[in-house]
Amino acid sequence: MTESELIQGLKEKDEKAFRHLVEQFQDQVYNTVLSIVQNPQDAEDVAQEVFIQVYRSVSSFKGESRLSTWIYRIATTRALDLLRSKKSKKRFGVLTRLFGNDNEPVFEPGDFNHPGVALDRKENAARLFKAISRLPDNQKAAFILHKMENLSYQEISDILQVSVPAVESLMHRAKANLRKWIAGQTD
Amino acid sequence: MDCRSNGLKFEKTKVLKYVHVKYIAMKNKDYHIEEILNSIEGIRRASAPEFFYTRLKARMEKEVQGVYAMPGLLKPVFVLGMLAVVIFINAFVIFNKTSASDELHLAGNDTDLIQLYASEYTPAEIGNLYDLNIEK
Repeated sequence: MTESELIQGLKEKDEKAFRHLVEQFQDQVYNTVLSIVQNPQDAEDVAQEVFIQVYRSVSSFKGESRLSTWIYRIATTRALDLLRSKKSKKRFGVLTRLFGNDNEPVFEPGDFNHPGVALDRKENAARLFKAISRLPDNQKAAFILHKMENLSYQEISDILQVSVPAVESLMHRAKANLRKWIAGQTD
Repeated sequence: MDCRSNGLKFEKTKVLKYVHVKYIAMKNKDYHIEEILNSIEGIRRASAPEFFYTRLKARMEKEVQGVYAMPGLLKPVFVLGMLAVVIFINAFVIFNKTSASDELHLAGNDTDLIQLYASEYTPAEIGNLYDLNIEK
C-alpha cells in the first residue's frame, strides 16, 4: 500500500488502512513517546491517543509533509503535553497537600530503564534519561528524535517546524546541558 | 645548600604529583561523562506492547459508545445550546437595564426630581399636628 493509497483509505475511514497504519508506525510512535514520558503505561496511553487523533483528523491532513512527519509531530506534542499536565498536577498537588486534602500520589519520575539499552549500559543510560527529563521541551524533542529514532536534522526540522540551524542549535544546547548536569551528579 | 636544593626538589615533585593526580581524576571524570552520554548509542527501538491494535480498537469503540450512551442532558450539543441561551438572557437583561437607567437620566432634570422627593416626603400629618396644637 503506497502512502497516498493509505491516506485515501484513512480519509474514507477504511479499517484495513487504519490497521495498516497502526502496524507500520506503532513502534516509532511508542518508542518516541516512551523516551519522552519515560513510563511504559503512560507511553501506551499516549501512543493510542496519537492514533486516535490521526484517525479523527486525517481529513485535515493536506499532504504537505510526509505522513511519518505528521505522525511524529502529533506523538511529540502529545507526549510533551502529558509531561506538562503531570508537572502542573505536581505543582497543584503541593498546594493541596498544604491544605491536607490530597491523597493521590504526585508525579515523581523514578529511574527509567529503556528496554532497548544493552545490559552493561543500563545504569549509565538511566542516569542519562534522568538528565534528559530535565531538558526544556524543544531540546528534549530534538535530542530524542535524533538519538532514539535516528532521524536527520532535516527530518527533525520538518517535525518541529523550525529551520535546520535551529535544530543544530537545539542539539548543541541539549548536549551542553546534559554534560553539565551529569558532571554535577558525578562530583 | 644541598639540603635546601633537596627540599625544593621534594616540594616540586610533590606539586607535580598533585597536578598529575588531579589531571588523571579530571580525565577519568570526563571519560565517565562521555560514557554516560554515549550509553544510548546503538540503542534498539522499543516495540509497542503486544495486542496494541486490539487494545486501541477497543478504546476507540468504547469512546464512540460513550458518546452515544451519554444522557441527552449531557450531550455536548445540548450543553452548548443551554450555555448560549443563558448568555443570551444575561446579555438581554444587562442591555435592558442599562438602557432603562439611561432613559431615567435623560427623562427629567434635577429640579423635577427634587420636587418629586419633596412632595413625597411632605407629611400630611404635619399640618394635622399643627392644627391639634392650636386647638389645645
